[in-house]
Amino acid sequence: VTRGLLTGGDWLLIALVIAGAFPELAASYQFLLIPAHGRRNHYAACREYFPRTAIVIPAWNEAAVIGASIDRLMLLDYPKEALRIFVVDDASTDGTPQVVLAKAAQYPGNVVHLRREKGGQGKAHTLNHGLATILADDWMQALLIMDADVLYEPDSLRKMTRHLADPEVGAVTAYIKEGSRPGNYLTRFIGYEYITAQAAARRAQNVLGALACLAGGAQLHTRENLLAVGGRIDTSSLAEDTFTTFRTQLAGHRVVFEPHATVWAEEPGMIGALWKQRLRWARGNVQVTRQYRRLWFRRSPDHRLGSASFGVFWFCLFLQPVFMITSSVSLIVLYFADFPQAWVAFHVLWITNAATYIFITAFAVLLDPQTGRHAWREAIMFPGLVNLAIIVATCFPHLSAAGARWLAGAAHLTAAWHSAGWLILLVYAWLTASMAAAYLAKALEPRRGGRFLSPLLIYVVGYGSLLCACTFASYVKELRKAEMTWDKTEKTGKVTMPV
Amino acid sequence: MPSPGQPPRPPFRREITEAVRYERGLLPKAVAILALVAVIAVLRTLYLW
Repeated sequence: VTRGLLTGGDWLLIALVIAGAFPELAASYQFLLIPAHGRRNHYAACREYFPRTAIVIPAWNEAAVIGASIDRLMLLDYPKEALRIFVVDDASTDGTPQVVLAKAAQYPGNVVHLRREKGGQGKAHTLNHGLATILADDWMQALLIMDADVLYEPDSLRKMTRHLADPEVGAVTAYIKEGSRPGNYLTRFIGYEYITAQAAARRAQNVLGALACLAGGAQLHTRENLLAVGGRIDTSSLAEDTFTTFRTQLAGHRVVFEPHATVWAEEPGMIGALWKQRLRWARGNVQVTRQYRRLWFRRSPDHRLGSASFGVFWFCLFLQPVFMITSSVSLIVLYFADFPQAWVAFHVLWITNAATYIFITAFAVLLDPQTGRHAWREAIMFPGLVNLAIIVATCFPHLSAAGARWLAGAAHLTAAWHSAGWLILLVYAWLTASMAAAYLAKALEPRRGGRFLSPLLIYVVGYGSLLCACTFASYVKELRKAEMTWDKTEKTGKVTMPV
Repeated sequence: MPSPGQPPRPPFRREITEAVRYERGLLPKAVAILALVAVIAVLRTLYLW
């Protein structure tokens, strides 16, 4: 029974419930900006341009992958006399030095081995060791920072350097695709995620004129830009890529995402390894958010990082776990305070989620059909089976009620059981509970039977919930001021470039 | 400049034109998907409420 007029508290709770859809609405807004990339892009200022490019590869125990990466780089459609590869060997204890020295002999003048005798300080320190050498003379006109496992398509570098012909551009990044073959369920989820996080989000950021992050495995800088950001990479945080990206733009240089320059990387195939990697990234984002706290939502004539749209994108992603927890807590409070309003708010939330899900999934698959064909199941299952069931139940209540009656009848359950309030409460709490369940998948993975149960659980609770759980864990780590350790993602050399 | 065995590089202008054409082709794709979402919403509202 409704109580008539809603109180201020009711309205606040309803608003907080519906705010649970903000991250999805922001993602849809990003996708809506993509068509504008047909007009608002940087191609008109591109010229055929081959600057002398130093490629710096930080490497710690990369013997399994570094040789293939160097071979691929030497196959780049780029003048060889304008290409030098500097492998910064971070005190590797495997065969990395031998592999690199053999490649230096195979490609004289093109491959240089730099050795750090004392390593383990992290990627930024390793990069800085290489930068000090590279900047010591004036040969280098552009610098490409990449990871040891990344394979560049032959045309990728020249598609990036063409943007540097415009002196306003300080840095360019490429589209990193997940290339593990045959791969597994997790690498396919990551492959799909990268369509949304790179091919889609970075096109939208090109339109806005503000880029959140140059991909760590493919960032090309002009010499002028490197010097403008201090000639070194930030070592104070876990997000050196994002710090460099922000500093580039704050120095007044433009940053461009080139979606047609494709590089292939090996991403984690186990939840534990993915968790370590993403926790590092998410903690880095907390540090960036705090470091640039006076930048958000403040327009500047020098850069676009303070624009409202960019701020909305950043914070909807950064605060996604907060939106989810607030939404489900508000729903549960409303359930007890004013059940009919809770029912309405719940439907508004999930019908919105349904519309954004269909739009984003379909557009993402069309945006990168190659990855879409490879990972279409993971694209559909990205929110997880439970969320999809909730979407169907809210959008098609009669169908789902008939289905529930049939299921309950088949299982000989009573009507009281399948209409019980606890089920509604569980559904209301699901946005939060899904993160806990995703964490459980991570915890189960190394245990007996975990290699079977964890993937199953991720399909049920959703890969998105796993990422949100990781973001939430990053808040906790940062609040506790946990030690910043560099947990390197292990690479095995299973990445291939599909023909 | 392509390495031996590699196909000859396509003319620069053609590559730019193709990239721009691909980007402009994203508008009809977006419109088609939005239309699909709208059709689902209308059908659901009219027949399945």
